[in-house]
Amino acid sequence: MAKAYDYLFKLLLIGDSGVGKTCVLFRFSDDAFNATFISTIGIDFKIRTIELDGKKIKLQIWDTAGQERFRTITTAYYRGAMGIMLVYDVTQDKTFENIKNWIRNIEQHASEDVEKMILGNKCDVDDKRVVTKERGEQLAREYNVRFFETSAKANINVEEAFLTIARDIKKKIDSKAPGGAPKAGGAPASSSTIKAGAGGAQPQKKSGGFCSIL
Amino acid sequence: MAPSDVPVTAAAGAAATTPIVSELHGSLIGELSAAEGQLAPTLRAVYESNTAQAFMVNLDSFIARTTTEIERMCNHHYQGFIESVEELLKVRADAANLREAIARTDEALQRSGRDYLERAEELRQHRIIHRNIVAAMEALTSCLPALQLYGKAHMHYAAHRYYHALTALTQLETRHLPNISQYTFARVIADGIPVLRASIKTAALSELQDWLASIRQRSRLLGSSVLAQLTEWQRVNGRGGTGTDASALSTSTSTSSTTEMEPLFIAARAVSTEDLAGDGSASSLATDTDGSDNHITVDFTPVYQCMHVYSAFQADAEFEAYYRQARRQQANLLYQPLIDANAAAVANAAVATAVAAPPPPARDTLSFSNPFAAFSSNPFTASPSTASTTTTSTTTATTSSSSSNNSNNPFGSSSAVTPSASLSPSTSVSSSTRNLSNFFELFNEIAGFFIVEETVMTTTQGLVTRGRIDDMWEIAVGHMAAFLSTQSKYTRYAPVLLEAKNYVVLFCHAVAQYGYVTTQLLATLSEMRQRYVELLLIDYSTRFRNIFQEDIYEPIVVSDEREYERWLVMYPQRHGDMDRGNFPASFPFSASVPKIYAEVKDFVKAILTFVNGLELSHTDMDDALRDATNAVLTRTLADALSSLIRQSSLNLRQLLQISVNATSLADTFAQIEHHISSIMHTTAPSAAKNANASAATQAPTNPFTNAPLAAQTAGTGGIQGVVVFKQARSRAEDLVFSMVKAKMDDFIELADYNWLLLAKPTAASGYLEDMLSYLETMFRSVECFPPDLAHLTYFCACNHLAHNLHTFILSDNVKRISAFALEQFELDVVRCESFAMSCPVPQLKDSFLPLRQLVSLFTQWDFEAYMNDSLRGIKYGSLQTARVIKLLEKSVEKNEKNCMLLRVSSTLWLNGMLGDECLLARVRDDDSKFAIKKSSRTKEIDGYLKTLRGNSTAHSPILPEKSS
Repeated sequence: MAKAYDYLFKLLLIGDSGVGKTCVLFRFSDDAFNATFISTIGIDFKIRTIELDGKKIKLQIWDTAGQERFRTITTAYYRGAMGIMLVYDVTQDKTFENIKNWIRNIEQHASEDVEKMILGNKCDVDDKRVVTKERGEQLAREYNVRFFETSAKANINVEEAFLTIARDIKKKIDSKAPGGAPKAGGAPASSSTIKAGAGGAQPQKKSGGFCSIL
Repeated sequence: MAPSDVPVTAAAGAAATTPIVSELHGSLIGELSAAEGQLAPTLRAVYESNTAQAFMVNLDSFIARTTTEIERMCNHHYQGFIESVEELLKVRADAANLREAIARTDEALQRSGRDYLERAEELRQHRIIHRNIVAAMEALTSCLPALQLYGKAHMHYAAHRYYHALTALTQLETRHLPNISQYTFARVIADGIPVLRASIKTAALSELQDWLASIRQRSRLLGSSVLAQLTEWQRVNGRGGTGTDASALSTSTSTSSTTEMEPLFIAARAVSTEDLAGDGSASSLATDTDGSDNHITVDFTPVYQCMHVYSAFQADAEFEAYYRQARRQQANLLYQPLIDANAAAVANAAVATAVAAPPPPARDTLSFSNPFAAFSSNPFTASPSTASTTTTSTTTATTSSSSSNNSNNPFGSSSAVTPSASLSPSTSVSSSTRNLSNFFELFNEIAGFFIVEETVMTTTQGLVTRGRIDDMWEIAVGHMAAFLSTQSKYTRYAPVLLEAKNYVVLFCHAVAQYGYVTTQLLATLSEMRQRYVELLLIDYSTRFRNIFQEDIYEPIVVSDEREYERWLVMYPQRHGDMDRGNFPASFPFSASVPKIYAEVKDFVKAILTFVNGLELSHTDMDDALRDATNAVLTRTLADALSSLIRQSSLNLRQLLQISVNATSLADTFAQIEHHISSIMHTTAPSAAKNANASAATQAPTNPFTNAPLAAQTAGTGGIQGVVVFKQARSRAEDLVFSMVKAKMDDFIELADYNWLLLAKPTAASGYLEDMLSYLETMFRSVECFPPDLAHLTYFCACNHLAHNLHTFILSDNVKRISAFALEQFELDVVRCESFAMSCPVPQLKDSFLPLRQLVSLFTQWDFEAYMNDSLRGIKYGSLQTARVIKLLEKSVEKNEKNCMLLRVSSTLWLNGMLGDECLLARVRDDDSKFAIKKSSRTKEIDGYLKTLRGNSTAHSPILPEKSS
């Protein structure tokens, strides 16, 4: 069976309700923007294929509902994620403060080596900004994660953020893969995901089944 | 004494000569003394006779004798003389006294006499004066009436009472002036009369011209006043405005209109020619709106006066011709703006179509405004200049019109411009409504014009005839109808049409009272109604779209009883939980539903507002309402709904909400039907019952009936909204299914089966786990999922999954399938089954039954049972032979050794990094088992394949089969 992709990366968007996770995703997946606020129900995802170093990478990006009532549903998805993007709203201080809680959540539920990234969204709204870029950067440094200020509306840094996290994940996988193996070219993506997912060496659970051995 | 002296001497001289001669001398001397002065002849006689000596002597003797005589006499009388002298002296004194007395008396007399003389002179003078006065009085008495009459004539003239002036002049001429023709002034008067007459004629005419000019403005006021009065009357009588009960008032109209509106008629009829004989100012047409605040009086005096003046001149025909022509020209001027506006509208529309894009509303108002600017800047403007200057500024329009005025207006130009002055400031306001109201003013003017004409007709004899009025009216109605239909065709604002309709109805009512036929005008209303509905549909289309756009598609949450009540008012759908007082609760539908419902109700109301007053039969009204409502539902709302559903940005939950909304709307639209019925019932309880029955009979009689539409719905009479919502709902549901499928396809794309798997699988495929947990999450998190739709979606999802799993395993790209791969596939099927079991839908597992049977057949290698016809029906009833054949083909392993090696090597490669010796051992173990079975298995498969192929070609020859 001819493979349509070389890697499959699962990314997760988390953050408070209304910070623009869905918009960021929509911008990345459809290059569009919809101003009306429609809160995400439970969880949704989009898939976009990108190319890095000549490899086709499928990004399956899970968009979670920020609302508290969906928290149990959404945390179930942390486990399988290879990259988690924490989104806050530069015009809402609370959402920035909550990033710490979200990181705590990640520490509890996600695999240890998950790639993380902080996004300060709505950076185009200058007149209502309350969180400076410096504070964002400062926080990112504290947790040793990458940081971007983005705007889904003005299409600032969205593409870059996703590509960067994808590149980081790829780098991590490639470095874990056996030395000569990446050059084998035909290396099936499934093997990569196996390793990434199974990296934690945890037994497979039926419910959290994002990673599986074929 | 002296004469006596002379003869004495002569006698003396003669005596001295001779006796004879003395004698002669004596006689001569006698003659001398006797005759005085006869000296010369005597002397001549003496000297002729040469007796001069003798004569001298005679004469001396005579003298001597005479002297002696004198001396004796003197002696004799001396005493007496003395006495006399003395006496005289005495008398002289007395005489002096007397003379003194006389002088005194004379003086006294003189004194008293002078006074008297003065008096006498005075008296004489007075006498003379008296005589003169009497004479003057006589003369004056004879002249005064004439003068008075003349003065009166002038006075009348000055007071514009020309007919009176004329009669006065005639009287003066015939009765008074002949009697006093001796006077110069009478001649002057007589000479002046024809001049005055001529100037009266001119003045009367110019007054008529003034009137004609002013009547244009008055006409407008009169028209608007009559209409305002009618409106007021209708308002008082409960008509107009709300007006849901049209029937109730139609009866009351017919009865009370005759009584209520009477005064206006009377006011108009009261004007008569007789008024002219009175003080002349009474001839007026008065309308009285709202007490006496707004009193419009039209003074007809100039017309009657001019008419009478002309008839006095025996020029009735001239006057008639003049008046008629003037009025006709005025009428033509009235229509001109209408014609121009129509031309402009058509031209604009042509431009718009040429551009091929719908012009923005701003343009529309422009098209309306231009002709009006020209019109209101000067209503007198004649056609060519108006047409050309419609696009130019107001100022140029005014100037050009004023110049054209002179040429076109035979009545004189000065008065013609005046009406424009008051109007021009308003022209800068250029909204569509404003403009239409400008046209209403024009219509008012037309109404006023014809009311005036009608009054003139009834109050004069033959100046205006019914035929002429009707002709003019017909033309006017033609223009108005053309204008209305054109304008309504190009109007883009429904409210404008509504206003126009209200106006036209009012207008028709008003002019009908004056006996004008309004059928043609009323007929345009049906045209306007269609356009109105069209415009409303367009309007509501955007409204609907906006509502759909604004909605966030989340169920409406109601927090307390009061809020619930509020919603119920808006949208009549009760909610069980809320009825029981459980708050907060949420309606199943989202915010757009009540809004849409309200808008549709609004629409019905808007249509009703328009239809109201058109005096439609109830069937027609009902039809009109239903047709329009159906149109708004089946066209506008349906379009808005389908375009909403077509939006790509909708997510699953929104689609579900839309489906729920559609269901709710479908349920509630019986209410709209009910709403309309209730309206119809309140208006006509009896008529609505047999509306359908009477529709066929009534339809042709009513000019408003739109026959095809009426026929179309008369039978059904229903509202077709439910269908629309059901369609929308099923479309939304289809989209839900396809959206779920699309999401599943995203997962399926990630599927990555290794059909040559050499290791024993332990869990279902990752993509499948992801997909199923996603589906679980989705079904769990969408609260608004209606159960029946959820069921369908479950089925749809499972069928889709089953189909795709079939596609995977039966794909032509898959040449061979290893036992472990089959095992993996079975694990996936098991996972699917467990998912189906976990769902709250019975029989869902059956979706995977064919798949299950297929997998079981191969994993258990149960071909004995399968080949057994009786058992097959029981165990593998859902299994298609073609699929079995396909899978069997994939099971044939031709080069067992190579295959084996490939498996081992790939497994080695796969697990090499981990160095999983156990796994490798297991693979070998499995393979060895497999190899033992192998040779017999291959033969078996070949046998089954042959039989099955034979069966399948016999049973279903169409099935596309690929033979190896």
